[in-house]
Amino acid sequence: MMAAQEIIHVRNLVTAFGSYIVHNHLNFFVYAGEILGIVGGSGSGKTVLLDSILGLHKPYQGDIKLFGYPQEFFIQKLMAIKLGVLFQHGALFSSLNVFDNIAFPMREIAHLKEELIAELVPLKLALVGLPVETCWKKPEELSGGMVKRVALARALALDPKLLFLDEPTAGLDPIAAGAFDELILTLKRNLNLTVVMITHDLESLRAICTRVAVLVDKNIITGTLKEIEAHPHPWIQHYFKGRQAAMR
Amino acid sequence: MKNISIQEKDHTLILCASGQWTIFSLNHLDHFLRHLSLKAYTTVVFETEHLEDIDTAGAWIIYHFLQRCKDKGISISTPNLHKVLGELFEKFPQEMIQLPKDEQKAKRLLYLLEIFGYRTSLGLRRALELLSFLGEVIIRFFVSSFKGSFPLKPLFVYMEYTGLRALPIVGIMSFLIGIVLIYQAVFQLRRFGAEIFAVDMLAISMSREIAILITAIIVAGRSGSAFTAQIGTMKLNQEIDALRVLGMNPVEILVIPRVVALILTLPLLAFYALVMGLLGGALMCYFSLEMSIEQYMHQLSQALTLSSFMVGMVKAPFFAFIIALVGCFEGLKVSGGAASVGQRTTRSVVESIFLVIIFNAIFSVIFTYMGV
Repeated sequence: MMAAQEIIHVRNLVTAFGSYIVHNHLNFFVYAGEILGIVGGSGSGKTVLLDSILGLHKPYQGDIKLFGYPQEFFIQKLMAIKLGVLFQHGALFSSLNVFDNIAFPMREIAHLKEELIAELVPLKLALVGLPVETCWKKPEELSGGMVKRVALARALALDPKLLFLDEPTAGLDPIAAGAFDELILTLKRNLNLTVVMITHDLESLRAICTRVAVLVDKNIITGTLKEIEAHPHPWIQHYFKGRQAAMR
Repeated sequence: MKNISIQEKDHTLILCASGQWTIFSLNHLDHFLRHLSLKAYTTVVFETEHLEDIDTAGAWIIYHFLQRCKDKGISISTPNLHKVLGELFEKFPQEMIQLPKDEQKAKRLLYLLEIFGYRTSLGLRRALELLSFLGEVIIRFFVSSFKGSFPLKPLFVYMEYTGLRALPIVGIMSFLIGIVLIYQAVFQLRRFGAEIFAVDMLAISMSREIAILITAIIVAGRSGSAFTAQIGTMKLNQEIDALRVLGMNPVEILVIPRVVALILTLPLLAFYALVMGLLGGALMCYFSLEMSIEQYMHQLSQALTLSSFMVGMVKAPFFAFIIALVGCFEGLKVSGGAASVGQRTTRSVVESIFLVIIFNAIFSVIFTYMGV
């Protein structure tokens, strides 16, 4: 079997805040076309890992490559083109309305003509399941679920190859969360996306993730859902079995 | 044309897309397809099997073009439709999405008149709101004092931040103003041979007006704005709601200690500013008039009366109250997003300085009537 292309390559990552070590010599890879779910307890460094990969947090030590390029080069040249991020709280630009939020990368990075933007923005909104009327709303007027959707539309504005989602379904009702998962799956299928998502939602993990990464003991354990569920680590056992028992 | 080739056969147009149809290479393709004249054709064939890369934007352009053909009654065929395209087309809405008009933009015609009326009513309403806030703060002050639950700890924290930490900047500015005033006065008064009265001028203007005004303006810029930004961010973070839900009054917890702290520290700062200003004057007198410290003090003791000192000091707590009140009021008015914090902070500083100057004028009138 031919090895799939490595989209993210993290080797020997050490991150620390002062003397507190968050990740201790962590190795992890993401392959093209997969949906990787990252789980872990609160404070286990899920968001820090994401920030390190995105270059928002400088690791103490380690080697990070994205699409085969060194991270620094990638951040300077390719970041906006290849990468979309849905932040935990949406991070919509509060001074711009929904339309301008989504149009922002199209204008500033892709330099599209206004008439095309005026068609693409409603299209992106339709893709994430929002009515066109949302266009002229300000971020502060949106509900939590709508903020997530608009933020996803902005992350998808340039059709990135790699999508980071930080707790995309947190704060959504189960139906909306299910629809969101469905949406990610269709987008992934149609657009050749690779998705890395931080989630606490077991349903999402089961429904869409091809592989799961668990952050425990300052390190990471990756595998398919089945492999992870069978892993003897007590936290993992508790996480998967405990919830399962509670759901029955 | 790059990435698209065109063939014509009778009344059939054959378009063959190839290469990259992604968002970064679309502007010319979009322009071409959008303005392609279709009058001469009855059939359009769109071949997509040679596409290397396609994304939603590229798919949209093709979809949009095919829709346009359909609308004109031209029969279309898409042999060997690219796999991705087929799936994406299903996701696209059946009808063209019309961007709804921005209602706010539609009202532009009456905009000027509307904004005039809106601003006027808003200004009046804000004055009333500030008045009602003033009442609330005073009532809450007495309530919390009687309950014996006055927040002493934050009071000292705010006194440190608004008073102690302001000492360097207030001192330096006042000192420099003392120097400049003496320098200017000596320069003018020398023509009459009355340089010695520069000291009188400094003593009177500093003690009655300048020390307190300069302090109030610095404090409004330094602490008033900080109050607004702090409380405003807390409001956005729902901290105010959290306090309310715990059955606590945000005015009692957040506003009272700030107001009291400023009322206590501003007079002290003003006094300190006066002393520093007079010291600056002494330095300048020493250099430009070769006046010894003893002489300076002697002249000062004749010029500086208790009444002019009191006239300045009496205003300080009032100004402090205005600055803290406006700062906290604007902070509690923050709503929406980060932009609002900026707006309110600006407004807080401008308003409090404006009100300080207004009240200073009112005090002048009152003191004139009282004959001090």
